[in-house]
Amino acid sequence: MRLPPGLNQKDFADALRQLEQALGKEWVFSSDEDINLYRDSYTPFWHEAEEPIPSAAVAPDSVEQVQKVLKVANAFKIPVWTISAGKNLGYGGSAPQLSGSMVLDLKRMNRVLEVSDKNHYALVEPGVSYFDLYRYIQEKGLKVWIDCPDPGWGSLIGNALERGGGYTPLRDHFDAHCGMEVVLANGDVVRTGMGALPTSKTWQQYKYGFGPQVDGIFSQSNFGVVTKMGFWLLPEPEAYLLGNVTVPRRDDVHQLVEVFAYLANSKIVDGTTSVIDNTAFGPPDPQRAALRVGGSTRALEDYIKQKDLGYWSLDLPFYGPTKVIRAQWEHAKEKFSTIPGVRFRDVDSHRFPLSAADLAKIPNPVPLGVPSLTTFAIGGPRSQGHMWFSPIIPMTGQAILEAQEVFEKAYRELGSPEGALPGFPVWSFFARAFVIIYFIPIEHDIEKNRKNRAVFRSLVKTAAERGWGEYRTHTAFMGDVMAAYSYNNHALLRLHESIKDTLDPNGILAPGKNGIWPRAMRRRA
Amino acid sequence: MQYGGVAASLPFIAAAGVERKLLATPLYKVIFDERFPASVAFADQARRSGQAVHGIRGDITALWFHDLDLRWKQGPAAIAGLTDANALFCLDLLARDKCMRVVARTEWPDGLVAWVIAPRAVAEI
Repeated sequence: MRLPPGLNQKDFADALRQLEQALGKEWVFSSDEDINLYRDSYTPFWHEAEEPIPSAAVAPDSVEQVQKVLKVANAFKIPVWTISAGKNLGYGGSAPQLSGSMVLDLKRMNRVLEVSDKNHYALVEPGVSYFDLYRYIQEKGLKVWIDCPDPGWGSLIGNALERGGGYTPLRDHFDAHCGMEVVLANGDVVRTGMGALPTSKTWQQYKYGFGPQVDGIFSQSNFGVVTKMGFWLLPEPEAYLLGNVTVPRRDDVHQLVEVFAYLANSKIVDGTTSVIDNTAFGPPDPQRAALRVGGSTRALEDYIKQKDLGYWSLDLPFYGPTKVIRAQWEHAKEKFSTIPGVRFRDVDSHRFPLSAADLAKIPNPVPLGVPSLTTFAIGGPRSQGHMWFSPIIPMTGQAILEAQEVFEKAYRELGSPEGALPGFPVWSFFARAFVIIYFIPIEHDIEKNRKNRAVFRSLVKTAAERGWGEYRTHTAFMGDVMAAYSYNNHALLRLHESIKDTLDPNGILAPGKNGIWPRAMRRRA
Repeated sequence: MQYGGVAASLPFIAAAGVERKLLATPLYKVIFDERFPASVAFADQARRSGQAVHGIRGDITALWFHDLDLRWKQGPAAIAGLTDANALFCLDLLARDKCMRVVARTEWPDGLVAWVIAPRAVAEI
């Protein structure tokens, strides 16, 4: 039996017995075979002693059972790692930060409590996946869209709390939430925003309530267990249109992004897109690879011209009434038309609702609010898993070029994990800034994984020196990333720690999550 | 719904060394990948032995949304298949949410994997 840190076998057995009484024996897991299911499928510590492995897992069915679990955890000082669906692949999956933690698996709390297609919101429990909510809406014929990440098997609450992103105008999932219910470490149940008003009629319609808005401290944190959360939904749009813009020269990125920022910040374009460097992506090509390492900008521009591609490519998604989005696309073309050599293309368009047959023909329905697992069927780099390196950079062409230069140089110096210079996809999952999402492979090879972890840590430091911080990270690097947010002698972390010590004095909730350790473990961390 | 013993239609199980515990396991579906002749042949064999089969083309989304998720909401049900590793990876993780797991796995040529996913009770026989 694997033990929580600091606990002896007898006390842990007592704790498990109490948990079995509270939840039922079948919902308390402590055998190796059961516990192994909660290990990170993409662990960067494959076959290494550092791999964090839980001591047990429990699956409560209600808020009351969550309270009982926390009562036992407090009594025995058992660290608890909360998961909703545990599908946070690339960021740690369902495995804890601290080995020996007990996983609090909220999969059985999977009720869709309310969906309104008049005020366009949903209230759900943590075990509700994007597929679950989509099915509920489809079965009831409601005229609302969800916003899904890629893939769609995760929990709405889990993804929003980790500040994940999707594709539609409601793509910033934490920003799209409205009201939450949280069980604090001491078992107290708090409802935020209008939910604090016992007779509230607007919990999912007005975010702020009265007084300080505390929702943010429960995201990417270890201050409570979120047991309900409201989300704004998109009224089913009349139509969708995807246009594409390409520009021929490397330096065109400045004007391309400046116009895009104007369109995005004006809400003329309101969906996720990415700025693609066509010299970095595409099928393997030795000529392109050689040019990217030692070629001149002019040679790359000539190469890309021969391929009849733009140097930069940008898709623009539009959601809304047909006449409106056609006009938005025309306006966007007008704005971009000042760039010499710019080209436009209509890529895709749909009117809603789609028939099942039409939906089945769409290769990637995720931008249309339809959850999918297709991403796993697309051939990608061969590895046993991956970690995502994901810094936020300014929404400027200058930042894109600088990020390319800095990260490619870092890769050359460190030795690229894949033996080739990377392309860095630049995404607009969030308003006003870009996020780079870069794949760092995990292998069934201890030395390669050690090297790639070192590469990751170096990239975090390199990014921080340039003023770029990660929006989210794998559990293995949470301390590294939090350490980079160091303004005024780590004042933000010290504030987090003050809150942690006040709300969770025994330090039972997710020790080490996002670099926040309880007082008793701080020196060790 | 056609149920039957696993071993008759899935001879790879003997090679995986778990035949005894799975002999009596009823299967809900046998999953195959239409892109691979070996997988199609595997499905034909399963079909002849009375198993219900379901074809995919790499992506398990439709299988999940229109079939397995609905079935597994009623309770665990064993499935088996010959697919690529990516499809198995998805089904494995989805099965874990329903207290099921991969109880047999055998590598085949061309990147295929033969596998059985079954409830915890089967794995503990």
